[in-house]
Amino acid sequence: MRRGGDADVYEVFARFGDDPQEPIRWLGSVRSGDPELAWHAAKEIYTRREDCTLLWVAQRAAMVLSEPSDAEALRSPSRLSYRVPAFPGRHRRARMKAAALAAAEASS
Amino acid sequence: MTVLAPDEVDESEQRLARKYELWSEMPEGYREAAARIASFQALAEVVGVLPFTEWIDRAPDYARKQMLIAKVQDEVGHGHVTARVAEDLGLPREQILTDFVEGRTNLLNIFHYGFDSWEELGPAALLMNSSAIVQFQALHHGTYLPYTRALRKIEKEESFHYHHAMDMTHQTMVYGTAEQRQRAQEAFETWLPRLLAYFGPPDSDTYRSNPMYKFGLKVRSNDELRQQWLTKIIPVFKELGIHVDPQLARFDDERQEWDYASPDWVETKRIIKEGGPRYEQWRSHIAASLERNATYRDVALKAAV
Repeated sequence: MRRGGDADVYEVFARFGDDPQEPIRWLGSVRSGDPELAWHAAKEIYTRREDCTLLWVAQRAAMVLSEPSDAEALRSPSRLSYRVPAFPGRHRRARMKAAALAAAEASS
Repeated sequence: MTVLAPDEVDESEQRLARKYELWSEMPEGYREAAARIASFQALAEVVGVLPFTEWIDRAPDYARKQMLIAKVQDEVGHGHVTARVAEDLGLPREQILTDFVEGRTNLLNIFHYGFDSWEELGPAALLMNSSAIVQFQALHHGTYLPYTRALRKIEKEESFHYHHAMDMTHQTMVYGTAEQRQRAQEAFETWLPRLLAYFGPPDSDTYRSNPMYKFGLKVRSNDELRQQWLTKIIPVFKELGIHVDPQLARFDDERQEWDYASPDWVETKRIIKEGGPRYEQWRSHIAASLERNATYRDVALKAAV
């Protein structure tokens, strides 16, 4: 992780259209000396054509951002395989296979 | 037109496959090259809009004036967005403007001119917007992601500018007097060679070893883009009722590519280096607004720290 730099840089996030399920997208950044003015700059620069329904700005200096070295810690499915739907199934199949093997051994 | 052999296509796809974010590790020289391309566009947006601003208070009707103001605001916004890309790479916007004002950066040839009549705006803007769209559509596949994201926003607005320019030209050609139609015709003939030159010199044998091209910051070659652009825009002008002299541009069915009057490269180079007819006016305009706003800029930046 690292702290964002540049106190006068504000990252811009928005949602377009009326679907509230639509994720909020990162669009880019603006430079401003003041948070409210940053919001207005973002409105004038980034919401000129599409139908914007939500607009956020966040001071970059206040953000904590992942770095390439965090990639390993962020990738859940490969790191935490026991959390994914395939895992219980695989677990069950392994159990059944073991039981079948034991039964076969017992009968021979 | 350059046709890539199969193995070269593979090479070209590989060239564009590896993408970079601001925080990615970049090859030697990549950061500077990406900053250069973004800063170059930031300057082109801000200066390129000046010929249009001086027509805002001369627009012949209210809707045109509104559309012209919207276009000017759009272009300045494009300047902001691309300047942000350059700033993050270590090239501050003040420097982009100061380098221009103090003569350290050159402007592309098309930004050295102004418009002498209202009828000139439509055809000239149509040629400029369509060439920008062709350039951006290629650059969209470039390797620096913050820049390609910026272009995504820009392209939508360019499409509006394109249609506005087409509508203006249409109005002149359909409702204008013979004299007005003649001005539109002359505007096309004046600006076509300038835009052909804007795509840059013909491809050399070595363009693939150009670092910008290798990095995938330059996506297509000058000749490829020039051909694509002619294919797109010449039929549009014909449909608008502009006569396209085959001497200026003509499609060769056999070779399946456009022949066009070669731009005057000596004159183009001279203009870029020494400045065209309106260069000094645009330069001093930017210099004056930098100076006028210096106090406000200082106050705002001090408040931020």
